[in-house]
Order: sequence, then structure tokens, then C-alpha cells
Amino acid sequence: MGKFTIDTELYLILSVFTLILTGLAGFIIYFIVLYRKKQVLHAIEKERTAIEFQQELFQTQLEVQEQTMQTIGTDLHDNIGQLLSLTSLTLNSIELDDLQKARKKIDASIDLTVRSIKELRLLGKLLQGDQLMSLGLIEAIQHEINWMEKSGKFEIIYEVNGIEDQQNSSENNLILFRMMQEILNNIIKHAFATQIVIKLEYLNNTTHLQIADNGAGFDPEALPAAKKGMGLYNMQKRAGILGGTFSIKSHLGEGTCIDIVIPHTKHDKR
Amino acid sequence: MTYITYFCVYFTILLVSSIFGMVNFKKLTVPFKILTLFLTYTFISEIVARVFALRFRNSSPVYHMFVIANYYFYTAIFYQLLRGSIIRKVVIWTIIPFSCFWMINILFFQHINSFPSYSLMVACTLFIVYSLALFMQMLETPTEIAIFKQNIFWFNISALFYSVVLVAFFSISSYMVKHNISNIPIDTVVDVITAINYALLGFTIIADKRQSVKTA
Repeated sequence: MGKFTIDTELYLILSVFTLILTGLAGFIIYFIVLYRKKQVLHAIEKERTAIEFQQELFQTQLEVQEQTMQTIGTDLHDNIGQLLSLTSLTLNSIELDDLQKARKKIDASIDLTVRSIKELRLLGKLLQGDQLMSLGLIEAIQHEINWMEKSGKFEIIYEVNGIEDQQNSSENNLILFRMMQEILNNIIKHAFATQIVIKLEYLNNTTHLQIADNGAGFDPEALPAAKKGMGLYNMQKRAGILGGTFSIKSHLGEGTCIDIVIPHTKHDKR
Repeated sequence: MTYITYFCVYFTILLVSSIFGMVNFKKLTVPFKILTLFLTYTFISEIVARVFALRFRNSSPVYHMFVIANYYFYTAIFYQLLRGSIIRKVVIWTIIPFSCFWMINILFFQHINSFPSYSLMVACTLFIVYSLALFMQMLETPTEIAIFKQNIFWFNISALFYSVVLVAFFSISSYMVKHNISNIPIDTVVDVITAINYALLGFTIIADKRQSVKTA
């Protein structure tokens, strides 16, 4: 009877042991199957994210293009258009009876034409983002500042810290540059500022761009949703697409400070 | 397979795994550096245990030291592999109660001349929990690498399988000893599983080196 009990108990223990090992093997097989399923789902999700990223990037590029077209229109109308109208008026007013006066007007027309050509070239340079980026972001910003300073309305302070990463994606630089152009455009249109401080910093594999003005400022929270959607939200989205951050600090009457931090990426094509 | 042949194979596995790990030590990731140190420690510990067995007819003191070191090494490896802050805290804080239990076990239950099966069973039970947590983590964050090429998978399989086998073995073994039944067949099975376990751990070190070289 005692032996029978021991045998039964032993068989029971051995059965439990076998059951545990079988369960363990089952668990491992189940885990492998489940993991493979998750891997497939993960790959699909990754692909979907990559497509979404491409779509967002394409959308951003379209927005940048649209904005660029607006800049062309404004510059052609307000600047070059005015110069050419003035040239036309000057040429029309020439009276050939008075040669001395006519000579002065012709000289003035030549001067206006030369200025128009210069303006057109500058505009062309500003629009050709790829060419501009070939100079590097530091130089591109300097060009933009030179263009703005010609108005004589702003004192612009430009500071650069660190060394530009030559391998950093020029696509990222171009998007960052267009964001800066949009911010400067907003300052010109709405801020009534007299001083603009632009800081460009390269630190820990990131590009940090800060643009501050001493203008009217605004309450970012109080902006109507529609307005927000057009400007700030788009810039926030663009910074997000590049894996960076966009932050804005502003108070009524105290100016505005915008910070953009973009991590460096080595490849132009994602 | 004779006893001597088994030990030759067993020591060769431990020695080769340790040497491979040491030679490629710089190329390994932190958890597998710790694993290399553990395998080296195990190799030395097993040699000392044989010396003790031959000279004093008892290698249990060596295994008492081995159990606590084994727990610290595995805890350090799991701490490095797990990413959740709560489970990491749990892993690191269990060192204190386990060390207390190990000491209490030596003083009151399984003295220095008895094999520390209680401590080993508690350690194995904790390893099972850590291993399951690591499996959960793997499911939550799958990677593109094929599962059979992942060193973490093999390490975890080894930790889980061996811990379950040891817990089950000690339960059966104590029963057999109590009823004067020879446990040599089960002993042999466990010895073979132990050798396979260390071979698997050696393989994880090789896989880790390969992955490190690929990502470099």
C-alpha cells in the first residue's frame, strides 16, 4: 500500500513536471507566433508612418511653394513693379526740346532700370532655395538679412554659435530657412518692431534658431483657430515633421520670441 | 555518456563561452558583458567545487557562494535588459530581501555544508518573473530582426527554461530523497540541461557580438 502511494505520488509529480515542461514549450511556441504577428503589424505600421511622413513632407513643400509664390507676387507688385512704373513714368515725361532735362531723366531711368535688375536678381536668389542652401544656412540667413536691412526700418542683430554641420540634410535647412522667412514676414506685416535678433546655434547635433523682436507682441492662446491654422500651426507641424520643436513666447506689448530646434539628419532623401 | 565525458563537455562549453566573451568583451553590449563575467565566474566556481568535492567530499560551500553571485549577475543582466521603470526598481530592490533570505537559509535551514536548494529555488522563481516581464517587453516593442537571431530571445529562453526546470527538479528531488528513491536519472537529465543552458548562453554572446558588429 505504502509503495503504491509513493508510486502514485511519484507519477503525479512526474506528470506535473511533464505538464510544466509541455506548458513551457507551448508558451515558447505561442510567444514566437505572437511575436511574428506583432513584427508583421509593426512593419505595416512603420510603412504606414513612412507614407504619412512622405505625404506630410510633400504637403509642407507645397505650402512652402505656395508661400514662395506669394512672396514673388508681393515683391513684384510692391518693389519691382513700383520701380518699373516709375521708370515708365520717367521715360514718358521726357521732353526732347530740353536736352539737358531729358538727359537727367534718361539717366534716372537707367538708374531705375539697373535697380530693377538688381532687385530681380536678389529676388531670384531668394527664391532659388537649393542654390541658396548650397551656400549653407548661415549665409542664406545673412542674404535674407541684407535684403531686409535695405528697407532701413529694422535694426537686425545676427549671431551664430557653433559650426554648421556640412552633412546635415539641405532639405531640413531649406524648410528651416522658409520658416524663418515666414516669421520675418509676420514681423514685417504685424509686429511693428524696430529691432530683430536672430540667433543660430549648432549644439549637440541640433540646429537651434531663435528669432526675437521688440514689436507689439500678441497672446498666442487668444489667436483665432483659423489664424493659428494658417501660420503657427503649420510651422509647428513642419518642425514636428523634421523631428524638432517649435515654441513661441509672446505677450502684448513685449515682443515675440520664437524658438525652433531641429535635429540633424544626414540624408536628404528619407 | 560517462560522468567524466560529461564534465569534459560541460567545462569545455563554459571555457569556450568565457574565452569567446572575454576576447570580444569590448564589442559586447553591457548585459552580455555581465553574462561573460558570469560564465567566467561559473567556470571558476565549478572547478573550485570539484576541488572541494575531491578534498572535502562536499562542494556545498562553493554553491552557497555561487547562488548569491548567480542572483546578482542575473539581476544585473535583467536590470540592463528591462526598460520599464517599475520592473527595473523591483529587480534591483529584490537584492536586499533575497540576500537576507540567503543568509537566513545558511544560518537556520540549509547550513554551509548542505546544498542551498531553497535559495536556488527562490532565485529561479524570481528569474521566471523577470523573464516573463522581458517576454512582455519584447512583445510590446518588436524589432525587425528575426526572432531566432535575437540574443535577448535566446537569453530569455535560457533563463526561463532553466529556471523552470531547476524549480521542478528540486521539488522532485526533495521528494525522492525523502522516500529513498534514486534520483540519478533525473540528475543526469538536469546535468545535460545545465550544459545545454550554458551552451545557449555562450551562443547569445556570439549573437550579441554579431549584432554589435552589424550595427557598428
